[in-house]
Amino acid sequence: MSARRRLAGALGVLVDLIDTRLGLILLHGALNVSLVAWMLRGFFQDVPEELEDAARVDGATRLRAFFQVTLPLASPGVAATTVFALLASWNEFLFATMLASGSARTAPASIAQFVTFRAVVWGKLAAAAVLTSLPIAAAVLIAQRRLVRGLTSGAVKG
Amino acid sequence: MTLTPVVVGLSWRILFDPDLGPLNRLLGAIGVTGPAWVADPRWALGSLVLVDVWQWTPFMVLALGAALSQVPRELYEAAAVDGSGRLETLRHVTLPGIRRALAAAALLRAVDLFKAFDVLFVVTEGGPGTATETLNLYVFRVMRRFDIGYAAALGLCLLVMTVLFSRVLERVLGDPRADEEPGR
Repeated sequence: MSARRRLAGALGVLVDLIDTRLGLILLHGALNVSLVAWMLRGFFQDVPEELEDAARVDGATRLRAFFQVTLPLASPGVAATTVFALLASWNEFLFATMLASGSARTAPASIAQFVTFRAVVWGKLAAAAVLTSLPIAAAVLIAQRRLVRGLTSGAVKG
Repeated sequence: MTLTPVVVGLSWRILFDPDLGPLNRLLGAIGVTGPAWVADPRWALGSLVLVDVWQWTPFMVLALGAALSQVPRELYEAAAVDGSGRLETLRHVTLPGIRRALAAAALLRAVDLFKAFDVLFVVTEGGPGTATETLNLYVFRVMRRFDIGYAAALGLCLLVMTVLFSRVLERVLGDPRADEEPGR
């Protein structure tokens, strides 16, 4: 069992993930984790530290203070971050076309396929484009302000 | 800002069409012969910049607008009392006040543009020729002819460039995370 064989085995697992939903899910998670961390950091920083200190004084463990005090207070931010991650994953195009062109094809990748070598199928394309954009646009409209605040976190204090 | 970038790209592709596109129709109606937009190598990059500006202006407005509303009124009053003109007020009150938001927004957009793919790919595919081929698109083209080693090397270079660039930008504009008030 050489290192080489093991590497090939690991790569085999990765290859199996191509064109599966699980593969895309893992990938999008990895892609978004940095920006999500950046946003959440700002939101958690907005929660006054004194509140957590107070909970600790009242005998809560660190974990309990986090879950019962800090997390509920930061939950609007967490919600906005969720919308952001949803938006990023929904709109993601590069990896979706490269790694999931068959059975796990996402909406943006499908839309691009209306552009064929012979012609652009504008009618179907436009319909698909509207249907793809509407739900996510609605979700973002709700969370818009907080979303932008999160992205420029530390810059704006509420 | 929230529209799927592929949709944005395809919409602009219709708009940019030299013969049938609404953009040139409109220009023609006021007697201007529009350029060929993305079909003309000299105009293609500018056209893509136009798309990006169109797509991300709302984000900038929201981010900087929020920051602007946080600059204390008193500073402007004080500046006015001290007899500062509009330009001086902008330079010494407004800009320092929104510096961190500016830095954060610029950084986000800059890094995003290094990674820009979907709109460029849908509108021009790097063409005409290689007029709008960014490094990112070039990596993609190399990858598509299965020159994997070269593509991986290019990708790594792109990563290093992005990191270096964002560091420099942070230096110039100030780290958006830095100088928060103590105790926060």
